[in-house]
Amino acid sequence: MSSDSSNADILLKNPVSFLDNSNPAGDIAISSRIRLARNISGHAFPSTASEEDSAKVCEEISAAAGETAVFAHRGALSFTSSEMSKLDRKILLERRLASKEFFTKIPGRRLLVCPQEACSLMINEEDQIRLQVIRPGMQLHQVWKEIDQLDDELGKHLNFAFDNQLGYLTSCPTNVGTGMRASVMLHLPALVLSGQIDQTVNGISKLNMAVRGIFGEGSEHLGALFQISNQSTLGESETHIIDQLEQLIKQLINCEKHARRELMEKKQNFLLDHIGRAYGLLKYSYVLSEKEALNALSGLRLGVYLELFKNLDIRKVNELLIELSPAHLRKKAGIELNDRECDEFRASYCREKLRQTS
Amino acid sequence: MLCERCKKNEATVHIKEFHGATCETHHLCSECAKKKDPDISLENFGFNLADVLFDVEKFAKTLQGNNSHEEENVELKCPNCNWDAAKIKKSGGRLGCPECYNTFRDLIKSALNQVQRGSVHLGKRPADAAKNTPTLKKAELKKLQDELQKLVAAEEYEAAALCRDRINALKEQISAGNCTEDDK
Repeated sequence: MSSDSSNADILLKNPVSFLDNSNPAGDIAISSRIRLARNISGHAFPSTASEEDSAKVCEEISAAAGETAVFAHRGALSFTSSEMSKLDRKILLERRLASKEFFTKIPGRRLLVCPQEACSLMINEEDQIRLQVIRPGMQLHQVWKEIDQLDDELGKHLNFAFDNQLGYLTSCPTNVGTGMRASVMLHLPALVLSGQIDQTVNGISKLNMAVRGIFGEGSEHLGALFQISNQSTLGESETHIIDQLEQLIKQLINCEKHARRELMEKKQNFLLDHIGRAYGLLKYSYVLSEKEALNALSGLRLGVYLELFKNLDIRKVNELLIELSPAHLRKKAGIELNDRECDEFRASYCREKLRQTS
Repeated sequence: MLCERCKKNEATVHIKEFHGATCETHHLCSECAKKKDPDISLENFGFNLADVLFDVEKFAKTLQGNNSHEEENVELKCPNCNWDAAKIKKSGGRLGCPECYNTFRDLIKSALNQVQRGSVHLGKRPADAAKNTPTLKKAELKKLQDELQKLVAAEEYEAAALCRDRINALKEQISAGNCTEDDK
Protein backbone atom coordinates (compact mmCIF):
# COMPACT_ATOMS: atom_id res chain seq x y z
CA MET A 1 0.00 0.00 0.00
CA SER A 2 1.51 3.35 -0.94
CA SER A 3 1.17 6.35 1.34
CA ASP A 4 1.58 9.76 -0.19
CA SER A 5 -0.53 12.89 -0.44
CA SER A 6 -0.17 12.74 -4.24
CA ASN A 7 -2.45 9.69 -3.92
CA ALA A 8 -5.31 12.09 -4.55
CA ASP A 9 -3.93 12.57 -8.05
CA ILE A 10 -4.02 8.81 -8.59
CA LEU A 11 -7.70 8.80 -7.63
CA LEU A 12 -8.47 11.42 -10.26
CA LYS A 13 -7.46 8.98 -12.99
CA ASN A 14 -10.25 6.61 -11.89
CA PRO A 15 -13.79 7.10 -13.05
CA VAL A 16 -15.84 7.55 -9.87
CA SER A 17 -16.98 4.05 -9.00
CA PHE A 18 -20.47 4.91 -7.82
CA LEU A 19 -21.31 6.85 -10.97
CA ASP A 20 -20.84 4.00 -13.42
CA ASN A 21 -23.68 3.73 -15.94
CA SER A 22 -24.01 -0.03 -16.08
CA ASN A 23 -26.24 -0.19 -13.05
CA PRO A 24 -29.72 -1.44 -12.23
CA ALA A 25 -32.35 1.32 -12.11
CA GLY A 26 -29.47 3.78 -12.51
CA ASP A 27 -31.50 6.55 -14.10
CA ILE A 28 -33.20 7.29 -10.78
CA ALA A 29 -31.22 5.39 -8.12
CA ILE A 30 -27.67 6.68 -8.63
CA SER A 31 -25.76 4.74 -5.99
CA SER A 32 -26.13 2.37 -3.04
CA ARG A 33 -23.88 2.68 -0.02
CA ILE A 34 -23.52 0.83 3.27
CA ARG A 35 -21.34 1.94 6.13
CA LEU A 36 -20.48 -0.15 9.20
CA ALA A 37 -19.21 1.32 12.48
CA ARG A 38 -16.93 -0.85 14.61
CA ASN A 39 -14.64 -0.33 17.61
CA ILE A 40 -12.03 -2.50 19.23
CA SER A 41 -12.70 -3.88 22.67
CA GLY A 42 -10.56 -2.43 25.46
CA HIS A 43 -9.80 0.89 23.75
CA ALA A 44 -11.43 4.29 24.31
CA PHE A 45 -13.44 5.77 21.39
CA PRO A 46 -11.41 8.14 19.16
CA SER A 47 -12.64 11.42 20.65
CA THR A 48 -11.40 10.44 24.14
CA ALA A 49 -8.42 8.25 23.30
CA SER A 50 -4.88 9.45 24.03
CA GLU A 51 -2.57 10.22 21.13
CA GLU A 52 -0.58 7.10 21.90
CA ASP A 53 -3.67 4.89 22.02
CA SER A 54 -5.03 6.33 18.76
CA ALA A 55 -1.74 5.66 16.99
CA LYS A 56 -1.74 2.10 18.31
CA VAL A 57 -5.34 1.48 17.22
CA CYS A 58 -4.57 2.94 13.80
CA GLU A 59 -1.66 0.55 13.29
CA GLU A 60 -3.68 -2.41 14.59
CA ILE A 61 -6.56 -1.73 12.19
CA SER A 62 -4.23 -1.02 9.24
CA ALA A 63 -2.48 -4.33 9.86
CA ALA A 64 -5.82 -6.19 9.96
CA ALA A 65 -6.94 -4.45 6.75
CA GLY A 66 -3.64 -5.50 5.16
CA GLU A 67 -4.77 -9.11 5.68
CA THR A 68 -7.91 -8.62 3.56
CA ALA A 69 -7.76 -9.20 -0.19
CA VAL A 70 -9.40 -5.84 -0.87
CA PHE A 71 -6.98 -3.62 1.06
CA ALA A 72 -3.88 -5.78 0.58
CA HIS A 73 -4.13 -5.16 -3.17
CA ARG A 74 -1.05 -3.28 -4.29
CA GLY A 75 -3.20 -0.62 -5.93
CA ALA A 76 -4.87 0.22 -2.60
CA LEU A 77 -4.19 3.75 -1.35
CA SER A 78 -3.60 5.13 2.12
CA PHE A 79 -4.24 8.74 3.18
CA THR A 80 -3.13 10.35 6.43
CA SER A 81 -5.47 13.17 7.31
CA SER A 82 -2.82 15.39 8.93
CA GLU A 83 -0.46 15.21 5.95
CA MET A 84 -2.93 16.24 3.26
CA SER A 85 -3.38 19.60 1.54
CA LYS A 86 -6.77 21.33 1.81
CA LEU A 87 -7.48 20.68 -1.85
CA ASP A 88 -6.71 16.95 -1.60
CA ARG A 89 -9.01 16.71 1.41
CA LYS A 90 -11.83 18.24 -0.59
CA ILE A 91 -11.21 15.74 -3.40
CA LEU A 92 -11.87 12.92 -0.92
CA LEU A 93 -15.05 14.65 0.32
CA GLU A 94 -16.36 15.16 -3.20
CA ARG A 95 -15.68 11.51 -4.04
CA ARG A 96 -17.59 10.53 -0.86
CA LEU A 97 -14.60 8.64 0.55
CA ALA A 98 -14.16 10.71 3.69
CA SER A 99 -16.35 12.85 5.95
CA LYS A 100 -15.78 16.39 7.16
CA GLU A 101 -15.29 15.03 10.66
CA PHE A 102 -12.37 12.93 9.39
CA PHE A 103 -10.35 16.10 8.83
CA THR A 104 -10.81 17.64 12.29
CA LYS A 105 -7.70 17.46 14.40
CA ILE A 106 -7.54 14.09 16.06
CA PRO A 107 -4.36 12.02 15.94
CA GLY A 108 -4.09 8.60 14.31
CA ARG A 109 -6.50 9.17 11.45
CA ARG A 110 -6.03 7.25 8.25
CA LEU A 111 -8.14 6.42 5.21
CA LEU A 112 -7.66 3.26 3.18
CA VAL A 113 -9.15 3.08 -0.31
CA CYS A 114 -9.31 0.01 -2.53
CA PRO A 115 -8.21 0.42 -6.17
CA GLN A 116 -11.65 1.06 -7.70
CA GLU A 117 -12.79 3.10 -4.67
CA ALA A 118 -15.78 0.84 -4.04
CA CYS A 119 -14.46 -0.11 -0.59
CA SER A 120 -12.89 2.29 1.85
CA LEU A 121 -12.09 2.37 5.54
CA MET A 122 -11.80 5.45 7.76
CA ILE A 123 -9.74 4.85 10.88
CA ASN A 124 -10.40 6.91 14.04
CA GLU A 125 -13.24 9.02 12.72
CA GLU A 126 -16.23 9.11 15.14
CA ASP A 127 -15.66 5.37 15.58
CA GLN A 128 -12.37 3.56 15.21
CA ILE A 129 -13.61 1.80 12.09
CA ARG A 130 -15.97 3.20 9.49
CA LEU A 131 -16.06 0.66 6.70
CA GLN A 132 -17.81 1.70 3.48
CA VAL A 133 -18.88 -0.07 0.31
CA ILE A 134 -20.50 1.95 -2.44
CA ARG A 135 -21.79 0.69 -5.78
CA PRO A 136 -23.69 2.30 -8.64
CA GLY A 137 -27.47 1.91 -8.96
CA MET A 138 -29.90 0.12 -6.72
CA GLN A 139 -28.08 -2.89 -5.27
CA LEU A 140 -28.12 -2.70 -1.49
CA HIS A 141 -28.22 -6.47 -1.00
CA GLN A 142 -25.12 -6.94 -3.18
CA VAL A 143 -23.37 -4.15 -1.25
CA TRP A 144 -24.38 -5.81 2.03
CA LYS A 145 -22.91 -9.12 0.86
CA GLU A 146 -19.59 -7.44 0.11
CA ILE A 147 -19.34 -5.41 3.30
CA ASP A 148 -20.52 -8.33 5.46
CA GLN A 149 -17.68 -10.45 4.09
CA LEU A 150 -15.11 -7.70 4.53
CA ASP A 151 -16.32 -7.16 8.10
CA ASP A 152 -15.92 -10.92 8.78
CA GLU A 153 -12.38 -10.81 7.42
CA LEU A 154 -11.47 -7.85 9.65
CA GLY A 155 -13.14 -9.62 12.58
CA LYS A 156 -10.69 -12.49 12.27
CA HIS A 157 -7.88 -10.15 13.30
CA LEU A 158 -9.68 -7.65 15.54
CA ASN A 159 -11.69 -8.12 18.70
CA PHE A 160 -14.70 -5.86 18.13
CA ALA A 161 -16.43 -4.18 21.06
CA PHE A 162 -19.70 -6.14 21.23
CA ASP A 163 -22.44 -6.54 23.81
CA ASN A 164 -24.83 -9.50 23.73
CA GLN A 165 -27.88 -7.32 24.12
CA LEU A 166 -26.80 -4.06 22.47
CA GLY A 167 -24.72 -5.48 19.62
CA TYR A 168 -21.75 -3.56 18.24
CA LEU A 169 -20.87 -0.70 20.59
CA THR A 170 -20.38 2.68 18.94
CA SER A 171 -19.27 6.10 20.08
CA CYS A 172 -22.81 7.48 19.66
CA PRO A 173 -25.84 5.40 20.75
CA THR A 174 -27.58 6.38 17.50
CA ASN A 175 -25.39 3.79 15.72
CA VAL A 176 -25.34 1.00 18.31
CA GLY A 177 -26.54 -2.51 17.38
CA THR A 178 -25.81 -3.25 13.75
CA GLY A 179 -23.64 -0.13 13.44
CA MET A 180 -25.07 -0.03 9.94
CA ARG A 181 -26.20 2.93 7.89
CA ALA A 182 -27.50 1.93 4.46
CA SER A 183 -28.35 4.63 1.97
CA VAL A 184 -29.34 5.18 -1.63
CA MET A 185 -28.77 8.36 -3.62
CA LEU A 186 -31.84 9.20 -5.69
CA HIS A 187 -32.41 11.69 -8.48
CA LEU A 188 -35.99 12.95 -8.13
CA PRO A 189 -36.34 15.94 -10.49
CA ALA A 190 -39.98 15.35 -11.46
CA LEU A 191 -41.10 15.17 -7.82
CA VAL A 192 -39.30 18.48 -7.22
CA LEU A 193 -40.66 20.13 -10.39
CA SER A 194 -44.23 19.07 -9.67
CA GLY A 195 -44.01 20.30 -6.08
CA GLN A 196 -44.63 16.88 -4.55
CA ILE A 197 -41.26 16.49 -2.90
CA ASP A 198 -42.00 18.06 0.50
CA GLN A 199 -45.01 15.84 0.99
CA THR A 200 -42.92 12.81 0.02
CA VAL A 201 -40.11 13.76 2.39
CA ASN A 202 -42.58 14.17 5.26
CA GLY A 203 -44.02 10.74 4.54
CA ILE A 204 -40.59 9.12 4.60
CA SER A 205 -39.67 10.70 7.92
CA LYS A 206 -42.77 9.12 9.47
CA LEU A 207 -41.48 5.69 8.45
CA ASN A 208 -38.38 6.10 10.61
CA MET A 209 -36.15 6.55 7.57
CA ALA A 210 -34.03 9.64 7.06
CA VAL A 211 -34.05 11.73 3.92
CA ARG A 212 -31.78 14.64 3.14
CA GLY A 213 -30.57 16.63 0.15
CA ILE A 214 -27.11 15.63 -1.05
CA PHE A 215 -26.18 19.25 -1.69
CA GLY A 216 -27.25 22.53 -0.17
CA GLU A 217 -29.27 23.18 2.92
CA GLY A 218 -32.90 22.97 3.96
CA SER A 219 -35.44 23.25 1.20
CA GLU A 220 -33.13 24.12 -1.70
CA HIS A 221 -33.27 20.61 -3.25
CA LEU A 222 -30.06 21.37 -5.17
CA GLY A 223 -29.67 19.10 -8.18
CA ALA A 224 -32.81 17.21 -7.02
CA LEU A 225 -30.46 14.68 -5.43
CA PHE A 226 -31.54 13.00 -2.21
CA GLN A 227 -30.15 10.42 0.15
CA ILE A 228 -32.53 7.99 1.84
CA SER A 229 -31.14 6.00 4.76
CA ASN A 230 -32.19 3.92 7.76
CA GLN A 231 -32.62 5.81 11.02
CA SER A 232 -32.68 2.94 13.49
CA THR A 233 -29.73 0.56 13.96
CA LEU A 234 -30.95 -1.56 16.87
CA GLY A 235 -33.74 -4.13 17.11
CA GLU A 236 -33.76 -5.39 13.53
CA SER A 237 -31.33 -7.49 11.52
CA GLU A 238 -29.29 -5.89 8.73
CA THR A 239 -31.20 -7.74 6.00
CA HIS A 240 -34.53 -6.70 7.51
CA ILE A 241 -33.47 -3.03 7.55
CA ILE A 242 -32.24 -3.30 3.94
CA ASP A 243 -35.50 -4.99 2.83
CA GLN A 244 -37.54 -2.16 4.29
CA LEU A 245 -35.32 0.48 2.78
CA GLU A 246 -35.48 -1.19 -0.62
CA GLN A 247 -39.23 -1.43 -0.47
CA LEU A 248 -39.49 2.28 0.29
CA ILE A 249 -37.04 3.19 -2.47
CA LYS A 250 -38.88 1.12 -5.05
CA GLN A 251 -42.02 3.07 -4.20
CA LEU A 252 -40.16 6.36 -4.52
CA ILE A 253 -38.80 5.31 -7.92
CA ASN A 254 -42.35 4.52 -9.03
CA CYS A 255 -43.58 7.90 -7.77
CA GLU A 256 -40.79 9.67 -9.66
CA LYS A 257 -41.58 7.73 -12.85
CA HIS A 258 -45.25 8.54 -12.48
CA ALA A 259 -44.46 12.25 -11.97
CA ARG A 260 -42.24 12.20 -15.09
CA ARG A 261 -45.08 10.71 -17.15
CA GLU A 262 -47.58 13.19 -15.78
CA LEU A 263 -45.33 16.15 -16.60
CA MET A 264 -44.71 14.81 -20.08
CA GLU A 265 -48.43 14.35 -20.71
CA LYS A 266 -49.92 17.37 -18.99
CA LYS A 267 -47.17 19.97 -18.79
CA GLN A 268 -44.95 19.11 -21.69
CA ASN A 269 -43.87 22.67 -22.52
CA PHE A 270 -43.03 23.42 -18.91
CA LEU A 271 -40.89 20.29 -18.74
CA LEU A 272 -39.14 20.80 -22.09
CA ASP A 273 -38.50 24.45 -21.25
CA HIS A 274 -36.86 23.41 -17.98
CA ILE A 275 -34.61 20.91 -19.73
CA GLY A 276 -33.82 23.23 -22.64
CA ARG A 277 -32.79 26.05 -20.32
CA ALA A 278 -30.61 23.68 -18.31
CA TYR A 279 -28.89 22.52 -21.49
CA GLY A 280 -28.44 26.10 -22.70
CA LEU A 281 -26.88 27.16 -19.43
CA LEU A 282 -24.36 24.32 -19.48
CA LYS A 283 -23.54 24.62 -23.18
CA TYR A 284 -23.36 28.37 -23.64
CA SER A 285 -22.58 30.17 -20.38
CA TYR A 286 -19.23 31.79 -19.57
CA VAL A 287 -19.61 32.02 -15.80
CA LEU A 288 -21.19 29.02 -14.08
CA SER A 289 -21.57 28.69 -10.30
CA GLU A 290 -21.63 25.34 -8.55
CA LYS A 291 -25.32 25.70 -7.65
CA GLU A 292 -26.29 26.62 -11.22
CA ALA A 293 -24.31 23.69 -12.55
CA LEU A 294 -25.92 21.21 -10.14
CA ASN A 295 -29.45 22.32 -10.98
CA ALA A 296 -28.73 22.39 -14.72
CA LEU A 297 -27.13 18.94 -14.62
CA SER A 298 -30.28 17.69 -12.94
CA GLY A 299 -32.35 19.05 -15.84
CA LEU A 300 -29.90 17.59 -18.35
CA ARG A 301 -30.08 14.18 -16.68
CA LEU A 302 -33.86 14.25 -17.00
CA GLY A 303 -33.47 15.17 -20.68
CA VAL A 304 -31.18 12.20 -21.27
CA TYR A 305 -33.77 9.93 -19.64
CA LEU A 306 -36.39 11.30 -22.05
CA GLU A 307 -33.96 10.72 -24.95
CA LEU A 308 -33.88 14.35 -26.02
CA PHE A 309 -30.16 14.62 -26.79
CA LYS A 310 -27.72 13.20 -29.30
CA ASN A 311 -24.24 12.09 -28.24
CA LEU A 312 -25.07 12.39 -24.58
CA ASP A 313 -25.60 9.58 -22.10
CA ILE A 314 -26.22 9.29 -18.37
CA ARG A 315 -22.59 8.37 -17.79
CA LYS A 316 -21.33 11.64 -19.21
CA VAL A 317 -23.78 13.65 -17.08
CA ASN A 318 -22.80 11.63 -14.00
CA GLU A 319 -19.14 12.33 -14.64
CA LEU A 320 -19.88 16.02 -14.92
CA LEU A 321 -21.55 15.92 -11.50
CA ILE A 322 -18.11 15.16 -10.03
CA GLU A 323 -15.92 16.96 -12.55
CA LEU A 324 -17.70 20.29 -12.04
CA SER A 325 -17.39 20.25 -8.26
CA PRO A 326 -14.95 22.88 -6.93
CA ALA A 327 -11.98 20.76 -5.81
CA HIS A 328 -12.03 18.54 -8.89
CA LEU A 329 -12.13 21.62 -11.15
CA ARG A 330 -9.24 23.24 -9.32
CA LYS A 331 -7.18 20.06 -9.65
CA LYS A 332 -7.97 19.95 -13.34
CA ALA A 333 -6.98 23.60 -13.82
CA GLY A 334 -3.63 22.90 -12.18
CA ILE A 335 -3.31 26.52 -11.05
CA GLU A 336 -4.86 28.36 -8.12
CA LEU A 337 -8.29 29.75 -8.89
CA ASN A 338 -10.33 32.20 -6.87
CA ASP A 339 -14.11 31.64 -6.75
CA ARG A 340 -14.83 33.82 -9.79
CA GLU A 341 -12.08 32.17 -11.85
CA CYS A 342 -13.36 28.78 -10.77
CA ASP A 343 -16.87 29.67 -12.05
CA GLU A 344 -15.35 30.78 -15.37
CA PHE A 345 -13.28 27.63 -15.66
CA ARG A 346 -16.37 25.53 -14.86
CA ALA A 347 -18.26 27.19 -17.72
CA SER A 348 -15.46 26.71 -20.25
CA TYR A 349 -14.89 23.10 -19.16
CA CYS A 350 -18.58 22.38 -19.51
CA ARG A 351 -18.86 24.09 -22.93
CA GLU A 352 -16.01 21.95 -24.16
CA LYS A 353 -17.56 18.74 -22.78
CA LEU A 354 -20.92 19.45 -24.44
CA ARG A 355 -19.46 20.73 -27.74
CA GLN A 356 -20.29 17.60 -29.68
CA THR A 357 -23.83 17.25 -28.35
CA SER A 358 -27.08 18.53 -29.74
CA MET B 1 -35.81 32.63 -1.45
CA LEU B 2 -33.19 35.40 -1.62
CA CYS B 3 -31.52 36.92 1.42
CA GLU B 4 -33.50 39.97 2.55
CA ARG B 5 -30.31 41.97 3.25
CA CYS B 6 -27.91 41.46 0.36
CA LYS B 7 -30.64 40.26 -2.04
CA LYS B 8 -27.94 38.22 -3.81
CA ASN B 9 -27.51 34.90 -2.06
CA GLU B 10 -30.04 32.22 -1.23
CA ALA B 11 -31.50 32.66 2.29
CA THR B 12 -30.43 29.67 4.35
CA VAL B 13 -30.89 31.02 7.88
CA HIS B 14 -34.43 31.69 9.03
CA ILE B 15 -34.73 33.58 12.31
CA LYS B 16 -37.82 34.19 14.37
CA GLU B 17 -37.38 36.98 16.93
CA PHE B 18 -39.95 37.35 19.68
CA HIS B 19 -40.30 40.84 21.16
CA GLY B 20 -42.98 40.62 23.80
CA ALA B 21 -46.16 39.75 21.93
CA THR B 22 -44.81 40.46 18.46
CA CYS B 23 -42.78 38.11 16.32
CA GLU B 24 -40.38 39.14 13.53
CA THR B 25 -39.17 36.70 10.90
CA HIS B 26 -35.91 37.19 9.00
CA HIS B 27 -34.57 35.25 6.04
CA LEU B 28 -30.82 35.68 5.60
CA CYS B 29 -27.91 34.09 3.78
CA SER B 30 -25.20 32.66 6.02
CA GLU B 31 -22.87 35.64 5.36
CA CYS B 32 -25.44 38.26 6.37
CA ALA B 33 -26.59 36.14 9.30
CA LYS B 34 -23.03 36.20 10.63
CA LYS B 35 -22.94 39.98 10.27
CA LYS B 36 -26.27 40.33 12.07
CA ASP B 37 -25.14 38.15 14.88
CA PRO B 38 -21.52 36.97 14.88
CA ASP B 39 -22.41 34.10 17.21
CA ILE B 40 -24.89 32.56 14.84
CA SER B 41 -24.52 28.82 14.43
CA LEU B 42 -26.64 25.83 15.20
CA GLU B 43 -24.91 25.21 18.52
CA ASN B 44 -25.53 28.78 19.64
CA PHE B 45 -29.24 28.36 19.05
CA GLY B 46 -28.91 25.85 21.86
CA PHE B 47 -29.28 22.69 19.80
CA ASN B 48 -27.36 19.75 21.14
CA LEU B 49 -28.01 16.15 20.14
CA ALA B 50 -27.27 15.16 23.71
CA ASP B 51 -30.28 17.18 24.90
CA VAL B 52 -32.53 15.39 22.48
CA LEU B 53 -31.11 11.97 23.20
CA PHE B 54 -30.48 12.11 26.90
CA ASP B 55 -32.14 14.09 29.59
CA VAL B 56 -28.67 14.80 30.97
CA GLU B 57 -29.69 17.42 33.51
CA LYS B 58 -32.50 15.38 34.97
CA PHE B 59 -30.19 12.38 35.03
CA ALA B 60 -27.47 14.30 36.88
CA LYS B 61 -30.08 15.48 39.40
CA THR B 62 -31.42 11.99 40.05
CA LEU B 63 -27.93 10.78 40.63
CA GLN B 64 -27.23 13.57 43.04
CA GLY B 65 -30.55 12.82 44.73
CA ASN B 66 -29.65 9.17 45.15
CA ASN B 67 -26.29 9.96 46.56
CA SER B 68 -27.30 12.88 48.73
CA HIS B 69 -26.38 11.00 51.90
CA GLU B 70 -22.90 10.33 50.75
CA GLU B 71 -20.30 13.01 50.40
CA GLU B 72 -18.32 11.10 47.83
CA ASN B 73 -19.43 9.61 44.58
CA VAL B 74 -21.82 12.44 43.82
CA GLU B 75 -21.21 12.15 40.11
CA LEU B 76 -21.30 9.01 38.05
CA LYS B 77 -18.05 8.56 36.16
CA CYS B 78 -16.93 5.80 33.84
CA PRO B 79 -14.18 3.95 35.76
CA ASN B 80 -12.43 3.18 32.48
CA CYS B 81 -12.26 6.55 30.74
CA ASN B 82 -13.50 9.09 33.34
CA TRP B 83 -16.37 10.18 31.06
CA ASP B 84 -19.33 11.78 32.88
CA ALA B 85 -22.78 13.21 32.09
CA ALA B 86 -21.35 16.68 31.46
CA LYS B 87 -18.92 15.31 28.89
CA ILE B 88 -21.69 13.36 27.16
CA LYS B 89 -23.56 16.62 26.83
CA LYS B 90 -20.51 18.59 25.67
CA SER B 91 -19.63 16.05 23.00
CA GLY B 92 -23.14 16.04 21.54
CA GLY B 93 -24.23 12.66 22.89
CA ARG B 94 -21.06 10.65 22.45
CA LEU B 95 -19.69 8.17 24.92
CA GLY B 96 -16.07 7.76 25.93
CA CYS B 97 -15.43 4.04 25.59
CA PRO B 98 -17.29 0.73 25.26
CA GLU B 99 -17.41 0.45 29.08
CA CYS B 100 -19.56 3.63 29.20
CA TYR B 101 -22.48 1.51 27.96
CA ASN B 102 -22.36 -0.27 31.34
CA THR B 103 -21.67 2.79 33.41
CA PHE B 104 -24.48 4.87 31.93
CA ARG B 105 -26.85 1.98 31.21
CA ASP B 106 -29.99 3.73 32.52
CA LEU B 107 -29.27 6.96 30.72
CA ILE B 108 -28.55 5.13 27.49
CA LYS B 109 -31.70 3.03 27.79
CA SER B 110 -33.92 6.11 27.62
CA ALA B 111 -31.90 7.47 24.70
CA LEU B 112 -32.23 4.20 22.80
CA ASN B 113 -35.99 4.17 23.32
CA GLN B 114 -36.15 7.48 21.48
CA VAL B 115 -34.06 6.68 18.43
CA GLN B 116 -34.09 2.92 17.99
CA ARG B 117 -36.89 0.59 16.95
CA GLY B 118 -35.92 -2.15 19.36
CA SER B 119 -33.80 -2.66 22.44
CA VAL B 120 -32.10 -5.94 21.58
CA HIS B 121 -29.56 -6.53 18.82
CA LEU B 122 -30.89 -8.98 16.23
CA GLY B 123 -28.26 -8.54 13.56
CA LYS B 124 -24.96 -10.23 12.83
CA ARG B 125 -22.55 -11.16 15.62
CA PRO B 126 -18.80 -11.56 15.67
CA ALA B 127 -17.88 -15.21 15.11
CA ASP B 128 -16.77 -15.69 18.72
CA ALA B 129 -19.62 -13.81 20.46
CA ALA B 130 -21.76 -15.81 22.87
CA LYS B 131 -24.62 -17.48 21.02
CA ASN B 132 -27.46 -17.08 23.47
CA THR B 133 -29.63 -15.14 21.05
CA PRO B 134 -32.78 -17.29 21.32
CA THR B 135 -33.38 -16.01 24.87
CA LEU B 136 -32.79 -12.43 23.79
CA LYS B 137 -35.02 -12.82 20.78
CA LYS B 138 -37.84 -14.21 22.91
CA ALA B 139 -37.46 -11.29 25.32
CA GLU B 140 -37.71 -8.87 22.40
CA LEU B 141 -40.77 -10.73 21.10
CA LYS B 142 -42.53 -10.37 24.43
CA LYS B 143 -41.72 -6.65 24.46
CA LEU B 144 -43.06 -6.19 20.95
CA GLN B 145 -46.26 -8.07 21.71
CA ASP B 146 -46.90 -5.78 24.68
CA GLU B 147 -46.16 -2.77 22.50
CA LEU B 148 -48.59 -4.01 19.84
CA GLN B 149 -51.40 -4.30 22.37
CA LYS B 150 -50.80 -0.74 23.55
CA LEU B 151 -50.72 0.56 19.98
CA VAL B 152 -53.96 -1.17 19.07
CA ALA B 153 -55.62 0.16 22.22
CA ALA B 154 -54.47 3.66 21.28
CA GLU B 155 -55.77 3.14 17.72
CA GLU B 156 -52.33 3.84 16.26
CA TYR B 157 -52.91 1.45 13.40
CA GLU B 158 -50.03 2.53 11.16
CA ALA B 159 -47.46 1.97 13.91
CA ALA B 160 -49.23 -1.22 14.94
CA ALA B 161 -48.88 -2.65 11.43
CA LEU B 162 -45.13 -1.99 11.51
CA CYS B 163 -44.91 -3.59 14.93
CA ARG B 164 -46.84 -6.65 13.70
CA ASP B 165 -44.41 -7.03 10.76
CA ARG B 166 -41.50 -7.06 13.15
CA ILE B 167 -43.20 -9.63 15.39
CA ASN B 168 -43.74 -11.89 12.39
CA ALA B 169 -40.14 -11.50 11.23
CA LEU B 170 -38.90 -12.26 14.73
CA LYS B 171 -41.13 -15.34 15.03
CA GLU B 172 -39.73 -16.64 11.77
CA GLN B 173 -36.19 -16.14 13.04
CA ILE B 174 -36.96 -17.93 16.29
CA SER B 175 -38.62 -20.87 14.54
CA ALA B 176 -35.72 -21.05 12.06
CA GLY B 177 -33.70 -21.74 15.18
CA ASN B 178 -30.26 -21.14 13.79
CA CYS B 179 -29.57 -17.73 15.17
CA THR B 180 -26.06 -17.22 13.91
CA GLU B 181 -26.85 -17.92 10.31
CA ASP B 182 -30.30 -16.45 9.87
CA ASP B 183 -29.19 -12.89 9.35
CA LYS B 184 -26.65 -13.62 6.69
